[in-house]
Amino acid sequence: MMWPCRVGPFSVVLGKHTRTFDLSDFPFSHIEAAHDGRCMVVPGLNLSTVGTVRDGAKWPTRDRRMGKVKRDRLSFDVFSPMVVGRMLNGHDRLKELMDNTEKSVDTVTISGAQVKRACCGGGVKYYRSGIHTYLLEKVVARIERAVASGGAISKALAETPGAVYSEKWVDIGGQMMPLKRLEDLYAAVESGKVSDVVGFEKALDAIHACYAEDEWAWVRRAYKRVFEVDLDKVAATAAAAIADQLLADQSKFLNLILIDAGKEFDTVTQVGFGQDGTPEDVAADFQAVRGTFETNKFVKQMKQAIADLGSRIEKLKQALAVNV
Amino acid sequence: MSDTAARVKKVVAETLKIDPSMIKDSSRFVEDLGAESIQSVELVAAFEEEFDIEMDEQGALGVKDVGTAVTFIEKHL
Repeated sequence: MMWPCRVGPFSVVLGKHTRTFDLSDFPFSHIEAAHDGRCMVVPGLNLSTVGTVRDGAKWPTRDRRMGKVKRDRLSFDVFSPMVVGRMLNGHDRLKELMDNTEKSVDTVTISGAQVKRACCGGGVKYYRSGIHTYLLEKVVARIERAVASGGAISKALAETPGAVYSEKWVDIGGQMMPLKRLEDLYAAVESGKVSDVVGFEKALDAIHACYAEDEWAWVRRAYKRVFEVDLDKVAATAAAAIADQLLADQSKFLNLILIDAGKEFDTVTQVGFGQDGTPEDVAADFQAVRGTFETNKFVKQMKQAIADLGSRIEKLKQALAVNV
Repeated sequence: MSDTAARVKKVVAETLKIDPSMIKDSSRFVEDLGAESIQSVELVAAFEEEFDIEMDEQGALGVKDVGTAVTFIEKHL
């Protein structure tokens, strides 16, 4: 790619790109150079792939820094206000393109890249699914904590004092923060309030320590925008409905990952196995080397995750029913 | 051939850029028609456009051949 191309987080880029594009609002996209030099994008395609899930799981384990002081305050979350904020932007831009382009149009241009008009709808669905799953998970996790500790749901869903809200979040060397936190840090440096490296490191540590509270401030507002529900007014009955929605959306999401996992066992992937033999030989060779869909470790983990989610939501709903 | 089947085959031919005469009810998208992973997604999107429907993605991506696609789409009409 050539400067100043910009790519959304967790995207896959294939080929040699000779034109510039800005796809920063389209995370998890498949970006490919076409033979005629155009940049073709399928927005959000990688959101529910095995690769993204595996990457998300392995990054934290690859952080083997042993020092007590970690100068890079890395966030390993795949979904954060920065990423989901961009998904919200991408969702809205794709929907606008869908609504304002004639059906006869084959491809449309997004910031220098081409997307098939029909794929805009797919992108809208992918992003909607990811946004819903992220927001609902954050809300349900807070409700669960409140129920487990005997606390009030309203208190658990309230904004934490001292939290900072910015619609836009930024990634500063792997550290995610609301834009306002960064601007405040700029101001502190300019005013001399932060005047040395030690002070600067302390300021970054302080921002890092506020991540969860700042994230929650963002989630609350995004939730209201997406679901048109004010979390300050959620009662136990509504909480159960939120839990049900998480179960539906996240199960669907996990099942899409399972479908993607199934592609690794398609007959078309069995090239090079048992080449001189019968189709049965091919299948037997493939199975001996790669195993089967049913016995695959990742597939089992996903199926277990779906089952665990069902149990978790049922448990929460029972606890909520007791509290009503 | 039903109207739905004809339209499905038209969409498949246009999306995969193949000769419509190659497409049979029994044709499997990946193995027989050479659809790549991304084209599976494009096919779902193109079917939704053609028939003005919103398909359940989980079910749609599980459809492997043309005949099953016709049946699947007819359920959504």
